[in-house]
Amino acid sequence: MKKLITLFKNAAEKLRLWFGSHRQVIEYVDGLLFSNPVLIEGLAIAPAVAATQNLKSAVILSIGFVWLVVLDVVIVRYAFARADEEVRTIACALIGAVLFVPMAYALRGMFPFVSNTVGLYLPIMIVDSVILSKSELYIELQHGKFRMFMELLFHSIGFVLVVCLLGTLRELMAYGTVWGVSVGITPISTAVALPFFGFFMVGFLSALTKAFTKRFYHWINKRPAKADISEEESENE
Amino acid sequence: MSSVYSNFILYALIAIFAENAIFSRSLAVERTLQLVDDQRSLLAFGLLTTVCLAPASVLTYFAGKLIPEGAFVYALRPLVFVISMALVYLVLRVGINAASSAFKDLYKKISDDLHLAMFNSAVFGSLILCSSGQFTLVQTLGFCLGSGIGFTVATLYVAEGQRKIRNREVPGSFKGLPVTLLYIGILSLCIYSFTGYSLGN
Repeated sequence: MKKLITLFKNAAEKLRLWFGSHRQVIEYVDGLLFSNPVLIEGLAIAPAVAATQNLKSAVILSIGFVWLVVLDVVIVRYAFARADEEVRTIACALIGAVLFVPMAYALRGMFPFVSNTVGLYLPIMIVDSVILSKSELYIELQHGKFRMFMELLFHSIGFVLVVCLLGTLRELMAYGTVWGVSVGITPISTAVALPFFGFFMVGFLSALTKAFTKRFYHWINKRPAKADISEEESENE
Repeated sequence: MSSVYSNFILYALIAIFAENAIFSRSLAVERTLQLVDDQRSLLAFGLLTTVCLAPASVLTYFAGKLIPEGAFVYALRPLVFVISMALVYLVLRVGINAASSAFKDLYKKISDDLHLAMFNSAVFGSLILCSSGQFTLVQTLGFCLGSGIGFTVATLYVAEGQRKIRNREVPGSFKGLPVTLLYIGILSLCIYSFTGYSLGN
């Protein structure tokens, strides 16, 4: 048992040192958790809170987010980098509205009642602050294409994970189903599908993520304990 | 004539209370969170949003009728509405620039925020709601003006709540976004009870 614990401690220490020396990797993937667009940055709150009543809606929103946000940000970043902020805002909205048309037709093919399932929460992503804030950020920071792509990819995955988790949990609690299929769980109340519960869930998940982020950075930044240093020194002698 | 006024006022009240942009629809929450630190800016932004909604609601009401009947309205409506909002924005921008010499301080405040006040989810969401609900022109105008006023009132509530929460001992992980979302959730729950929804359903 002691050997196992020692093995585990050594592995954890190696992982901690690896993270400490590869912070750029963390910066690329922090959109997944440490800079999650919904839970930490407070963007795209409306669809996450009000439209994640079930897993199907969450999947539709995820497809919409990835298509609209990634393409819109990339187009605005390169086509309107030198434009005024006002022109960029209008361009974001117009490009998003144009991109929305083929996406809506494609989603109707996969989900025939898409307009009833997600309502206005898919179209409002066109004017969501996530698009404008990300394009402004990449214009200001002048990130390279690879870094921008990686950050957008992991921000999108972060959004997808959060809304799918919210959709699954709320559908289970409100209806006792997942993707419309009963899983044998007694539903709590259909009120779970209302926006107020979405606010509560996102609020608690956000607090949990903040606590985890703080612990993680504390863990990778901590110095080794004095006992460990003296053990290493005696081994070296 | 009295039915026109009563329709207008009824839909405005519905938009302010029962279908509040923030508490019932969670629209423009991000913008609210950015503004809560400065109550004056918050009030100015809310009023600017209301001013943007008024002409936009009229133009989008007529623009929505241009979409052909057999077409997939859900896909085309956002494009038509964004173009209408851009046209309204240009007109407002020209008008504000023309009046800039008369109201210099006001011009500076409005000029910086006009594009954010026009292109946000509270405005866009209200316009889509009116169109998908097939409201008449009077109902659309009442609902949109009510949405703007409701958004302003809601953001003032959230800002006041934020101010009080800051003076309390809140656990570190809950400071900032989490506690604000919980606060908005509680107010949203109050609105739902006010509209007669029962949690037991």
